Amino acid sequence: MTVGLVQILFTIIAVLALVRIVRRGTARHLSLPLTVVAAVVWVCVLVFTWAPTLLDRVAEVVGVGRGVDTAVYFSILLLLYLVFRVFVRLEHMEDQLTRLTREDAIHQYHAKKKE
Amino acid sequence: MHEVYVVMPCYNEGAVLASVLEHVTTHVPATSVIVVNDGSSDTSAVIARESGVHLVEHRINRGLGAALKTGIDLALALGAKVVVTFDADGQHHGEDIARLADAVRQGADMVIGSRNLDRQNMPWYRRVYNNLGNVVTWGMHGAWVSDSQSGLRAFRREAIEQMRIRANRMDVSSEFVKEAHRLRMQLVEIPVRPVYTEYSLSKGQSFAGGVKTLVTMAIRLNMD
Repeated sequence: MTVGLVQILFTIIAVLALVRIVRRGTARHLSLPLTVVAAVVWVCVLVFTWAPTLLDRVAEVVGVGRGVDTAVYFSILLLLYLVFRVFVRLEHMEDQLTRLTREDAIHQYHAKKKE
Repeated sequence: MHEVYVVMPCYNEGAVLASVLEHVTTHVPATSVIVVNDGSSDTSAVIARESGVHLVEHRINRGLGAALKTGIDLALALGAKVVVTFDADGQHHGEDIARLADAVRQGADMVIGSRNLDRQNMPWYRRVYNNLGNVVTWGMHGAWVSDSQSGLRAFRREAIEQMRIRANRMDVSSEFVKEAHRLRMQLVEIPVRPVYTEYSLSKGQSFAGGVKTLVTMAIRLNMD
């Protein structure tokens, strides 16, 4: 079995990502479900990098032509989900900013009335 | 203290604000009007201050929904029994404030001044836009009204206190309808005839803004 540059690159990225996720998970910076899901994703990357024929079997099961196509489809779905989560987080931050601005505005209103 | 308070969100309306306030204060006392300056960079705040109305100021622009909620919170703190929201772009008539407040006194929890019940002078594209807003409101929240995007509304104190208003921007219009529907409130629509000027039409939401509002509404559906 020959080892390609892509396999080495994907392995380094996946291992680094796994280490980071486990560290953040154990430090409780990430929730348990998110830690598990993220770890499973990167373990899958590792497994499919070293056993690409497994990906072809998955492709057969889900009815997609080639293994690599399956990986691309799942990646797109994952990215869409992540973008959605970023939007939700942004909306939460917008809400917090609004609450802060409102409290300040009403506080200033009352302060000016007292003057 | 007044029974009815008028909340007027304002963002860079310096060109028309003086005349709008002059018009409104011929129908209600200046001390019953609350202008929420939503981070304007023009002379809006100076104009409002000089007109003798209550002025509350966002340091930064937070959007229509955020400004309305700030004004409503202040109106409730000042003892309002009825809160009327009124656009600062000059498209509403001051005499409609009393008509909406009367509808609340007669038992309504929320009243919408509907521009679609009498559309004689409404531009066709504005009609299309309003109807799209109604369809989206109905599709997302299951509540049908003839003018979900109208800025002229009135609320009973007890009703607005119960509503969870969290939308920061234009999506607030649909959120009011959603909340009235969720809380099974009595929502009444009465026809109003808006004043469509070049200025008031230019202040309306653009197509791109409408799409952004739609996306925000979809995201917020997943935040409840």
